[in-house]
Amino acid sequence: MFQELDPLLHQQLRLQIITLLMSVESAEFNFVLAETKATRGNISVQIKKLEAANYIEVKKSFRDNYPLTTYAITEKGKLAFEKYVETLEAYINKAR
Amino acid sequence: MTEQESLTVIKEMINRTRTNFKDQSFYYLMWGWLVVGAVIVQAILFNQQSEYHWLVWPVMGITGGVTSGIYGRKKGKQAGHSTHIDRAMMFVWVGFILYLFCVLLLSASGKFGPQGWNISFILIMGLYGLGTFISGGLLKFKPLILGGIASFVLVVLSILIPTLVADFNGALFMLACSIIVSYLIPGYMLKRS
Repeated sequence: MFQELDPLLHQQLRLQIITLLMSVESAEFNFVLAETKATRGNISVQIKKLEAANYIEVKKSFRDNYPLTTYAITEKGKLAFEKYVETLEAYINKAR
Repeated sequence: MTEQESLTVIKEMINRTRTNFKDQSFYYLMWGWLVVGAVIVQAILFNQQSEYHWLVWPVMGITGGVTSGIYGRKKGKQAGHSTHIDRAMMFVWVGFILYLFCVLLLSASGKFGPQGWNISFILIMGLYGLGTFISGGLLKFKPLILGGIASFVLVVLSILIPTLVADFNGALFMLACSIIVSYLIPGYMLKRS
């Protein structure tokens, strides 16, 4: 019996964001925007969902008098991602 | 989204965040040439019996520090993200500067005796090697690791053959060799990688 893939991560943009944040210590909004090639509005919506689940933390600050938003993955987010990848591997291995 | 598509998304995102370490070569080349320049200027001033020959080091340190700060800030802004390796590298090099300051302070205090400057030169050569060795390991770049080891070899040679650093010009020459093997050669290899 397979475990269900985490529905929060099993969505393209949210998976893109969480994978990006797994690979870095922190990332700015513009970096996420450039790498995912999604719209600002869509990114904001998906970020809020990930933040509400405590998968990521959002920091707001200023740089050169301009607002700067940075994101970092939380321990809960790392565990969720690792579990997602394990489940994914099980699905793919079964399909082979 | 199918499982295969999920896997493709993950692979694609991981590839996008692969850091290009070529930019790091700027620091090795800038500091390498600054130290070589400082060694040459100090040798000239020392041989002309100027009592201010040591002033080249604080001037070099401030020049390099300000340039590194400006370059690092600019690159950080462009990148839009920071990695765990970036943080580890920052601690390595901040630790390097703090320890270098301690060695210079100890040397200036006269606690090493009248020939104390050549002991501090050996310690600084070891420090160049240590910084390069650790950062080579972090970046997984073999020429930096080997450059660090080469600098350690020069330290051992300076201890086993004291005549190499017995006079001031000899010590300066060994310091220049240390920076060439641990910064300049690996720095150019990193740039070309």
